[in-house]
Amino acid sequence: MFLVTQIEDQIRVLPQDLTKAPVDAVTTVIEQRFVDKVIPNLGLVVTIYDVLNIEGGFVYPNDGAAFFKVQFRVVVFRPFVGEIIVGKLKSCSRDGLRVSLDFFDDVIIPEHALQDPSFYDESERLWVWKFDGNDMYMDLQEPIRFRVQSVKFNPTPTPQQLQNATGDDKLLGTAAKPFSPMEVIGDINGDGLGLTTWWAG
Amino acid sequence: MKLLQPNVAVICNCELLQVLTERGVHLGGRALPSERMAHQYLASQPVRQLSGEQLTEFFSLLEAYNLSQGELLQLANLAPRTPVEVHLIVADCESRLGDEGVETVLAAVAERVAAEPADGAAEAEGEGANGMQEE
Repeated sequence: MFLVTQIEDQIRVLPQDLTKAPVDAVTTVIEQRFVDKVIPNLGLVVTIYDVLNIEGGFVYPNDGAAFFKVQFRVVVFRPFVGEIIVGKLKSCSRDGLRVSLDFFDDVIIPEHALQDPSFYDESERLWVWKFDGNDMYMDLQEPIRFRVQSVKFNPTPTPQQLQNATGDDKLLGTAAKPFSPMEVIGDINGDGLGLTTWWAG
Repeated sequence: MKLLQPNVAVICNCELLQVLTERGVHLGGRALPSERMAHQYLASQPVRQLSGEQLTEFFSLLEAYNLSQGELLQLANLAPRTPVEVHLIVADCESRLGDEGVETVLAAVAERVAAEPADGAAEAEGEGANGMQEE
């Protein structure tokens, strides 16, 4: 679920950091700019793999910072379609489940992708799989195995779109409806999928 | 920003663990909180952390079955313990592996890749024993 990507970028090192070795100064800036951020249509950058090449170090007029042209590699989280991943069940709602891999929380299992037949228990606010007469509750914080259906990248809404938003979308970007740049849609409809305790030997 | 090579290589969870350790996720290191979360997720899986050579050895054990890169990667990441899990990972399992194939895969995984879960029973016992000794 992780791949290595090679990137080239102009890195701006602040004047106060110029006393450090170029590699260290550049690494600090790359950490702030890339790590834990989503590169559109690629994935979530998890960590820096290595720095390959640093060139330049030019200081432009009116700007005391030095610009380096750096080639470096980062590790990107990008599961492929059909991959099996184990995560922790974070929350249940009418629309489905939300699974968390500690560093990535936007895995969604829509209600139509649950084991057949599953029902939403209003009192417990949990999904239940009725298998062979047994009620298998999907308790929170349980390890859950799912298959990746698709990886969706949402473009960041422009201020214009936010202004013209209607209804639910008006809350986009607030805690009521947080914006996720990358979503993994999964399914647990199949043998071996769902809570790991259901299938443990 | 230019993506020179969007896909240089796919890496295994254990290789990422090595990278994160080098980045300093352990106490006193200078890793970022998100890197620590990634390390926490990977370390909590019941999978042994193999080095590069151990990984290639594990893959060579299963050479005879012509598994694809993705399938080998998933076997090393997930360490299946039951036949159901192997069926999930390997496409068309019945015709390609058959029952003995699945047995061989499970045996290879149990020998090389599987490890006891880090949290739960093992730790509780450990803590209990330590508590008694300290007193």
